[in-house]
Amino acid sequence: MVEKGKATYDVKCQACHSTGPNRVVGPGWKGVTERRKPEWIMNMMLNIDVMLETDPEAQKGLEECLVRMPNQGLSKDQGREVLEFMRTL
Amino acid sequence: MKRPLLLTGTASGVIACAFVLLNSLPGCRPSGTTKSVVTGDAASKVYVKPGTHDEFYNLVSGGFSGQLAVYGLPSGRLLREVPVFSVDPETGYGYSEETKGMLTTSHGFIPWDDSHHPELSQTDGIPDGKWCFINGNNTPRIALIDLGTFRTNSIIEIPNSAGNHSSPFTTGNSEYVVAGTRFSVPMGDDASRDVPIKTYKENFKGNVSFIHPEPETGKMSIAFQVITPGMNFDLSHTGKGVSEGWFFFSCYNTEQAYSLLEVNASQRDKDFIMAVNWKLAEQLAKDGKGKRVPGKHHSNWWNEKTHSSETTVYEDVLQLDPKDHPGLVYFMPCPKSPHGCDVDPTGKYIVGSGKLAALIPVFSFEKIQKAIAGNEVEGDFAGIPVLKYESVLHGEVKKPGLGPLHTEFDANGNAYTSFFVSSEIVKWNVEKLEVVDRVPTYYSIGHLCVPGGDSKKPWGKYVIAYNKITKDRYLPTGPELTQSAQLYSIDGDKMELLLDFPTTGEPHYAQAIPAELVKPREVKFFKIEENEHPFAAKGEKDTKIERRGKEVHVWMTTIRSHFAPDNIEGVKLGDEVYFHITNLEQDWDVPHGFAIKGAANAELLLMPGETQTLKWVPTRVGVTPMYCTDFCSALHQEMQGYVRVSPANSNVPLTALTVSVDAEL
Ligand code: HEC
Ligand SMILES: [Cu+2]
Repeated sequence: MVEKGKATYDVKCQACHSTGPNRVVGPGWKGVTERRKPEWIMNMMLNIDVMLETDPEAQKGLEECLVRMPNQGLSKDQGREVLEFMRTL
Repeated sequence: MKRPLLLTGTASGVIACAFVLLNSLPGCRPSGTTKSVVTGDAASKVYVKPGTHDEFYNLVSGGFSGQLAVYGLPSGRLLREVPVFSVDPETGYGYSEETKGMLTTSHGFIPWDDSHHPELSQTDGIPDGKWCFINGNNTPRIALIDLGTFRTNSIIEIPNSAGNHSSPFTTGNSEYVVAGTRFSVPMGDDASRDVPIKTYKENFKGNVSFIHPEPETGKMSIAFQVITPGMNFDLSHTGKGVSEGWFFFSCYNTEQAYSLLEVNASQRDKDFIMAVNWKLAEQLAKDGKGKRVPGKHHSNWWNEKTHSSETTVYEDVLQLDPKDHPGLVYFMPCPKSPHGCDVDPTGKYIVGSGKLAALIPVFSFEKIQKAIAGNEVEGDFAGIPVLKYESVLHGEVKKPGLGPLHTEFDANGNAYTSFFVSSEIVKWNVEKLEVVDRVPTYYSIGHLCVPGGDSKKPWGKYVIAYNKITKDRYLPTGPELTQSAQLYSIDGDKMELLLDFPTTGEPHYAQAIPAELVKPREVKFFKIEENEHPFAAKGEKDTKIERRGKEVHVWMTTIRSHFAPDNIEGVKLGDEVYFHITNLEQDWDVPHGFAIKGAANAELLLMPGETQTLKWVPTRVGVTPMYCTDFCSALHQEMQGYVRVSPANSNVPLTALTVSVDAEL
């Protein structure tokens, strides 16, 4: 699962997220699973448009980065795999 | 409305007028100029509230632009111009390495054509919203546009054709689209084609091609050609319902003139509508009755997985000669250089529009069958039977107007015919052959379109006029004015002008279809997992640079808002650089663009998930900028990079990087 998550990360996320602490386009993922609840992360991955409309934390992220986190067309399973990969960081 | 003075008399008067019309308008233009005939509530009938959608798609040919334009109706808003036969530097169509192949022919790369007739694909005789075909006149071709992507999916060249005008009309289940040649030409090997022009009668032949699009892929191939005596083909339509299995073509220049056709091809009182039994032709072809003859042609197809074109080259084509196959082709006399050839929704009636005639003949399919069975022929034309006019005629619409061109239909038994010379649309009842209404157009209408109006199931509601002359209708823009269309309501007893709207290119012909049949097909982006482009970079990990002799290949990606790599060094003068760019976005409406200073071709516009290649040949030493052209995010103006170009003998190592100040990777 972690490996599959990493593969998806390489194709669809890596251009904007580092696995370290620092920002590229979006926040670095180191420690993200400690900062954020799993449901919230899943929602960021799968329901970004709703999140940016309603969730204050997501809106705050946009204000900081000034780029919208894109919908990268992940399936639910792919989202779970990426979450597992995040936990290893 | 007032008629031009000249036009009460003979056919030669009509010719004279058409001639004057081209050279100096005021002499012949209908005199009732721009007085308003729009009634009070017209605006509310075309008003589409901001943020809401139109009810119909209107697919309009670009004429000499070579493209297909897409409008919404009833608003007349331009939604898109689809590049088809002409290169388009805005998207890179015809310039990117992948798209160049779409425009190759047996004559080499052809960057332009003249696109005339859009035709929607059909299922059971009804437009299905899957594809739109369109013909290229000049270098004979037919294109198929996928209405899921609004992109050109395939283009096939038509061999032995010259001026592909009578095209690309479809059979009821899009088994075939046809292509009738406008000019007849000599065919065969080099020696048979190198003949004096004055040997037209002996050596020149016409033909109509039946082209088969593969239902799954849209790939096109020529099933067979039916050869005919030398003459010109103008338009065509399929039989339907009772006349299913037949195809009808209008023919002119049965005088077989090869010079000054304006006069020499207008001598005879009647030319022909040609009836082809295509079911029989199909059977003959299957039974191996045809002959393969020389006819080199290209069939180009867009592979959506590799994001690249694929070309198949054919050396010959299967031909059927009606002289060898009785029952395959019949001629029906039709007054004076017929232009439009239109079949009503029931398939019972075929309307010929003699553009130099003062009446509209309507043929009856039932009578055609009786005449064939009873051998009611008046002779033959180069060995093909000519049926008796009176035997096949349902009747004539008398004195309908001047210069009838084209006819479409509603679902209530009415026909709408355009009149170029008297500049009007005339509504008439098909059974009774009686004129029931007429309305002026501004000015000189060519084709017209009713949604579904050339199919088994007209949706009706509107008729749209595609005019040849604009004159004083819009703010002037120098010698060249906008082209234009006009929308009329046909819901009531009287046709009612609702809207003028400007168009791109020449709006030659059009089709319209309820938006609901098209919208659900729309592709939002290309799945990056399914990208099979040989140079795709699926993620920044795949980006790299590689030298192959003088060629430098860059595997590059875009995402909001940066390129990877964006710092390239080690390129030398004399190199050819290929930027293979993959857009990593996976959401709707997030294209990125790519432009580099001094590019002699175009930019690239990359849809999400797509890979395209731009070739760049640097011409001077220094550092060259590149940037994204499509405003993609708040940081779009930061989406840029550099390529360092060194002298030919330099030894700067080849490197490609993206450098982040604070990312700990
Ligand atoms: C175009 C650049 C881009 C890409 C590609 C991208 N993201 Fe993001 N992402 C962002 C930005 C910008 C933010 C911060 C915006 C916000 O929070 O509203 C963000 C925020 C996030 C967050 C919240 C992080 C936090 O600490 O608050 C998660 C989780 C996330 N992205 C997951 C993903 C996943 C999974 C992918 C790949 C499938 C991905 N992103 C691809 C730009 C991107
Ligand atoms: Cu951009």
